[in-house]
Amino acid sequence: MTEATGTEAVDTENEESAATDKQAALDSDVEKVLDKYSESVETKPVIGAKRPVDYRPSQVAYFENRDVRSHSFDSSNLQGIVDEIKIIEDGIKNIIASRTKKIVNEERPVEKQRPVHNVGLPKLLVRLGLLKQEMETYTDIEIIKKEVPRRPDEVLVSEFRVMIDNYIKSLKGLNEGLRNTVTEVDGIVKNLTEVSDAFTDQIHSDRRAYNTQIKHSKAIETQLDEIVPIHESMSPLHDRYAQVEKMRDHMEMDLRESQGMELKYKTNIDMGVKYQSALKSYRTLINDFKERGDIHVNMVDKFADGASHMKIAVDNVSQICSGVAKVTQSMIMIVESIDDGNKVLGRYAALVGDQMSAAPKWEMEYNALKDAEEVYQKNDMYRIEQLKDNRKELEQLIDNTTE
Amino acid sequence: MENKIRIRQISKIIKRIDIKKFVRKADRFLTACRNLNNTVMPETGESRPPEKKKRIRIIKKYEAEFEKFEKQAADITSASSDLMELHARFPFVMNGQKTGNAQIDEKTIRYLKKMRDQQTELLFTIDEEISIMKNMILFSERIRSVVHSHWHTLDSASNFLDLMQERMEHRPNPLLLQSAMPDPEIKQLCDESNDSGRKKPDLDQVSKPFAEFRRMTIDAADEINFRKQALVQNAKELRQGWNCLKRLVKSGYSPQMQTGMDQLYRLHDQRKKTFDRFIKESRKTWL
Repeated sequence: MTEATGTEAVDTENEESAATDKQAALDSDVEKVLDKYSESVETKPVIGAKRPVDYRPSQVAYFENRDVRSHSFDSSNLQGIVDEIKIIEDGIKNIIASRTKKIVNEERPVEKQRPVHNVGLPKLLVRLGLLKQEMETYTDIEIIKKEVPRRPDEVLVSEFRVMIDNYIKSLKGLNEGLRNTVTEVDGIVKNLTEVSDAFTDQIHSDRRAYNTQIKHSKAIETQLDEIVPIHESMSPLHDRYAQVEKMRDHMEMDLRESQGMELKYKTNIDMGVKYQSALKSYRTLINDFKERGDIHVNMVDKFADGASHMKIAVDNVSQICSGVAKVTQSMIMIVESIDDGNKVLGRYAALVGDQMSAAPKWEMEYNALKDAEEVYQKNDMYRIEQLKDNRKELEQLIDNTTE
Repeated sequence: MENKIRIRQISKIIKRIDIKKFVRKADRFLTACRNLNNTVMPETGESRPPEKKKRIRIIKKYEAEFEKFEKQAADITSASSDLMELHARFPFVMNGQKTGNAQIDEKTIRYLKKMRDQQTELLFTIDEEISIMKNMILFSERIRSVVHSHWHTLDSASNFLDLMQERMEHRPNPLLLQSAMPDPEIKQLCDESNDSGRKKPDLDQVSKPFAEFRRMTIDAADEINFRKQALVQNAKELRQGWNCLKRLVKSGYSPQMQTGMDQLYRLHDQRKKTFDRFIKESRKTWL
C-alpha cells in the first residue's frame, strides 16, 4: 500500500511535468516525509503474526505488592493537638474541683428516746397518772449534710461559666456597697467644705467689724488727744476741773472698752483662721481616703470585666476544643477509610496481577475480594454517617461562636 | 454713809466673781469633752467605743456641763459689768481722809487713782478672757459636732476598705490583675500593697484625719487651760487691789500699804503695756 501511495505521489509529480525549482524544493520535502513515514511502517509488526497464548505481559512489580499504601498521613500532629486540649481541659477541671464543693447527704444512725406505745389498761393507767410512762430507745437515722471535696473527673467544664458568674456577682455586690460608701464619704467632704465656707464668711464679717472698731477707737483717741492736754494744763482748783476730769475718765473707759472689743475680734479672727486651716487639712485627708476608695471601686470593676472576659475565653476554648476533637476524629476516620480502601485495592491488584487460571483459586480470591468490598462499603457508610454528624456539630459550633 | 453702802455693795459683787468655781466648772466641762470624744475615737489603749447607753449618758453629761459652764461665765460677766458701773459712779475722792499731812494726802489721792485704774483694767481683762474662752469653745463645738456626725460613716467605710484589701491580698489572681493593670492608678495601688508587705495602708488613711482632729482638741484644751490660769491670777489681783482701795477710802494712805500697792500697780502696768502693744501690732496687720 505504501508503495502504492508512493507511486501515486510520484505519478502526480510526473504528471506535472512543467517542473519548476519550487517543485524541486517541494519534492525534497516530500522525500524526507516519505522516508520518515516508511521507517515507522517497516517496524510495525504484523497483526495476527503471533499466537495469543504466547503473549506474556511484562512482570510489573505492583501486582506482587498486596499491601498497597498511599503516602502515609502523619496524624501525630493531630494527636499532639488532642493531647494538648486534654491537658487544658484537665487544668480547668482541677481549678473548678478545687474551688467548688460537693454537698453530700450522709445518713448516720443515732439513738433517740421515745415513749413506749401502750394499749388498753396500761394506757388508761398512764393517762390517769397512776402508771409511769416508760421510755424506750430506738435508732433513728439522721441526715447530715457534709461538704466533700470534688474530684476533677466528676466536673464539667461548663461549670466554669457558673463559677465565674457567681464570682462576678459577688464582686459586683461588693462593689455596689463600696460605691455607696465612697458616695457617703464624698458627701462628708462636701459637708466639710460647707462648714469651711461658713468659717470663711464669719472670718470676713469679723474682719469688717474689727476694722469698724478700730476706726471707733481712733475717733475716741483723737478726742482724748484734745482733752488730755487741757486736763493736764488745768489746775485742780479750777471750777471745771472735776468735770473735765470726769469727762477724761469716761473717755478713757470708753477707749479701753473699744480696745477690748478690738482684742476680742482679733482673737476671734486668729482662732477662726487657725481652726479653718486645721479643718481644711482634715478635709484633704478625708478626700485622699475617698480617692483611695474610688480607685478600689475602679479596680473591682475591672476585675469583674476581666472575669467576664475569662468566662468568654474559656467558653471559646471549650468550643474550640470540641471542634478540634471532632475534626481530628473525622480526619482519623478518613485516614482509616483510605487505609481500608488501600487494603482492598491491594488485594484487587494482587488478584489482577496474578494469572488466575485456576478457577477455585480465582473463585476464592474473588469471594475474598467481594467480602472485603462489602466490609469496606459497610465501614464507608458508617464513616459517612459519622462525618455527617461531625459536620453538623461543627456547623453548630461555628454558629454559636459567630452569634 | 452712802459711800460705805456702796463699798459694801462693791465687796458683795466682788465676792460674786468666784473664779475658783468657774475654774472648777471649766475643768469638768473639759473632762466631759474628752469623754465625749473618746466615745467616737477611743484613745490608744481603749479597746472599743462604749455601748449606746453609756454613750447617751456621756452626751447628756457633756451638755449639762456645758450649760453650767456657760451659766457661771455669764454670772461673772454680769458681775463684772455691775462692778464697772459702780466704779464709774463711785466718787473715789478725798472725803474725810484728810489727815492734814500734805504728803500723805497727796499719796492718798494718787494711789486712789492708781488702784481704781487697776481695778477697772482687771475687770475689763477678766471679762475679755471669759468671752474669748467662750468663743473658743463655740468654735470647737461646731467642728466637733461636724466630725462626730460623720465619724461613724468614715469608720465603717474604712473597715469595708480594709476587708476588701484583705480579700484582694488573699487571692491575688494574676490573670485578673493583668486585665486591671493598664490603669496607672490601680497599678500604683497594687504596687503599694505589695511593697508594704503585711502593713495595711488603708488603716493609716483613716487614722490620719482622726489624729488631726485629736490634735485640734488638745490644742484647744491647752489654750483654755492657759487662759484659765491667767484668770485665776487676775481674780487674785482684783481682790487684793480692792482690799487696798477699801482701806484707802476708809482710812487713807499709810506707809505699810505702799509695797503691796506698788507691786499691784507694777503688774497692772505690765498688763497695760502688753495690751497696748498687742493692739498696735494687730492694727498694723489689718489696716
